[in-house]
Amino acid sequence: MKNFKVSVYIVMLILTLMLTGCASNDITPTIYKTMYIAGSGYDTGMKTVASLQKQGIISTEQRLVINEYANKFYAPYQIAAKSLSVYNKTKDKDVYNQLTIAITEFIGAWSMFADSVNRFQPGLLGTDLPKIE
Amino acid sequence: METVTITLITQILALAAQYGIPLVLNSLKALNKEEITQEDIDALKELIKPPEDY
Repeated sequence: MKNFKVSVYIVMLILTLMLTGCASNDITPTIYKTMYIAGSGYDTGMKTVASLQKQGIISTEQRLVINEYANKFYAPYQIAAKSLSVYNKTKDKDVYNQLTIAITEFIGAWSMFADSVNRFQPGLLGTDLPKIE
Repeated sequence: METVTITLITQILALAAQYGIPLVLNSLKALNKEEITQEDIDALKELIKPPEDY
């Protein structure tokens, strides 16, 4: 059911991005804000994880599992950040497509990452990122 | 006051208590920006570090 929800969300996101892309040339501020929220949430989550590990609440093995989920978010986030930077300068369609794919990937990875952190600090991170509208 | 507004304020206060007022203020400032500059966008890359670096 959760996977279904994520899939529906991703499809809606892509459609929204496509529609907004057609309607307006400047979706950059909306993407920026979504990425800022996502990045701040990731940073908060990882700082909390590091702190909990120092206190002995999270073991090395558990940290490795969290890092695995975190990397699945981190990698596409960085691609999206680079793509957004280039897209803002060039408005290139291919870069925009790459940006859309990267955003879809990091949003898809977010809930697993948030769950892995919330397991040790319940309720710290929301399991859904804000929609791009 | 609407329930949603109260929930939002409560969450903001909880974040401020846990992570400090500057972080919350910076986040609100970023979200309120009307004009996003190239520098703002470039800064997104530095906003987060690889998991191993935390």
